[in-house]
Amino acid sequence: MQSHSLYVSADPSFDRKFAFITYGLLILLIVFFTYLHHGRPDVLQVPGNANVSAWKNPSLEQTNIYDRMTEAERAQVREKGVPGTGILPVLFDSQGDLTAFIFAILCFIHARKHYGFWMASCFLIGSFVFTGLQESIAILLGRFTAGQAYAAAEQVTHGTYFFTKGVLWFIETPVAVCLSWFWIAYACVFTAGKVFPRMGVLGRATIGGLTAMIIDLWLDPVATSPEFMMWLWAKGDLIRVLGINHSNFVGWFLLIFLFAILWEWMPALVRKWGRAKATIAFFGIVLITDVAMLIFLVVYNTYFVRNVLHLFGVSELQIPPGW
Amino acid sequence: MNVAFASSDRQFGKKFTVVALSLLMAIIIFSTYLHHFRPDVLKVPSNTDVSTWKMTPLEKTWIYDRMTEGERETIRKNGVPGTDAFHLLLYELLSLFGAWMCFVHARKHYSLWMATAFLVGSFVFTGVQETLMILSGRFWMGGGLLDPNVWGSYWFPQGILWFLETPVWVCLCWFLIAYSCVTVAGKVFPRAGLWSRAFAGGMIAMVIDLWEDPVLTSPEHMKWIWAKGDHVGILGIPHGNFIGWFFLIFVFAILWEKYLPVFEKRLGGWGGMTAFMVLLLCCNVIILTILITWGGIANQLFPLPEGLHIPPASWGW
Repeated sequence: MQSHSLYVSADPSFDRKFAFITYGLLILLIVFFTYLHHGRPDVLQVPGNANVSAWKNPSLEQTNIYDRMTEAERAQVREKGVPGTGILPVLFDSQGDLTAFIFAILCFIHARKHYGFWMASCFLIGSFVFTGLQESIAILLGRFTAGQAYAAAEQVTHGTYFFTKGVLWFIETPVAVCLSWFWIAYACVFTAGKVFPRMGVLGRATIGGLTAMIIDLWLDPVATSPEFMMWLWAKGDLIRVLGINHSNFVGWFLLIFLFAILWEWMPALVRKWGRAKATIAFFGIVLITDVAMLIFLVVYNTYFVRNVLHLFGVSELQIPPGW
Repeated sequence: MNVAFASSDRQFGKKFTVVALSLLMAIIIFSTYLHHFRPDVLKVPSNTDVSTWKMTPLEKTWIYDRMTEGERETIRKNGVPGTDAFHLLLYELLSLFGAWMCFVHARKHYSLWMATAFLVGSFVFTGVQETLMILSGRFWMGGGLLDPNVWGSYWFPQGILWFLETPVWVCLCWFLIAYSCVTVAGKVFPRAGLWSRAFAGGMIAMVIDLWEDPVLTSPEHMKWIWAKGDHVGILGIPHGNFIGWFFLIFVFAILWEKYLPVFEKRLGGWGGMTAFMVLLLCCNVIILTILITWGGIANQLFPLPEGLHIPPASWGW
């Protein structure tokens, strides 16, 4: 990120209004969905952490991690439920609410200093909504449609997933995950800009997206292991990398790549339309991109991956073999 | 990295590179022969028959507790996975490619002499450190796994070319990780001094390993195998490993950037490099001593059977 060209100076009256509306709306949504998740789990059919045998779409046996559990681990999870759901781990582990909040605050302060309050807020709220919405759609789509397809046809078009832990929730995604998306995206794209200062936005976004994807390549197998079970992958993806559905890595890259490009476009939008219209346009584009990305991922998984694998005469691929 | 002084004599740089790489090659050829053809000398654990592991039986490795019965059976029957020619070659080539890219970058920015010194220095520094820890575990402490004062050792099962008892691909990976982490730290914190950059570089590398190690030591990979002994585990990995990662990169970055140019200025190219290598070897011994001492203290602080697990056992891992 080139801090000088992306800095948008403060406009106190607009910034106050903008902050009141966007942060206010976001807090309202979080309060509502947190209530829905904890208080009325029946509405979105939230899988219970205590009784894993009640899981349906997917059941414990339909998750990727099931095959990697020892019999003792399976028995323990069936008896005691998902591990680490006490208040301490939920607040303080690597994806805990407080841990994510601290890192997000640090990145926000940095962003505010280098790009101004409005740009920093757009990065925070934009990436929060962009990724939270994308995750929630993928989760709910799997829970309500692909899960049923699994039961009917013994296969799914793409493996879905769900998050198990969180105090605060945004739709069906923990707030900690949305905040982690923010600070990982910000740190990766910022670092890419520092390491390759002469690179254009496409190059920086590509490097930032790849950096984040590589971080997840190592982080995901650990966070989804039987000892953590922070999120659970359902079987169904035809390609698995280190035990994780490969579409996850495609998603990681695309989310950060696309968001970085959209965000860096904002100063140009401000110059063209003014700050109010630019804000509306930015969030509108973010939502449209979310839907477009989801359509792309479903088509990619349903047709492209299957056909490419058929071309090579294989029905499934595991990297490394056996995982 | 803002190097104050570096050799600008291209002829010397070339001569130095040829000599240093030739020496390294000779050690690699000898170590590779020893590893593959005379495994009895260094008691190399067999990859095909894990029941012959004596110093650290399969049951006394960290990964054993995390294996399903099916995985244990497969390993007992088929041996360590990923030891076929394709996988071995893949790792050698990938690490060579990554190291080559870093070397080209280093050569462009810091001269051939400094780049070669980084490559050979970090290669030897980390290779010797790993080998010291592996062999000390294998010969001194492997038999005493139940002693509460010992620390857990490890070994690498996979590799075509070897430097002492460390695969060449591991040494090359150390070079590329050390170089890229310290370079990135310098880019992100351009006004930071050497100590801060080395610290940030070491921390970045350690955080990378925090996620990488549990994956690469899993039953499907077994790129290296941890023996039980360390009472403190982070994400299922002995904590001494992470201290080692930080120290190796932190110390090397400081020695390379601060002391190598000074040595070269005072003692000339050959003398400077010799002094640099001697200093590295001394640091190897110091780091080993620190790790063993700290391992003993940590084990006393957190006695078995509970030990200390991060995250705590009640949280999961």
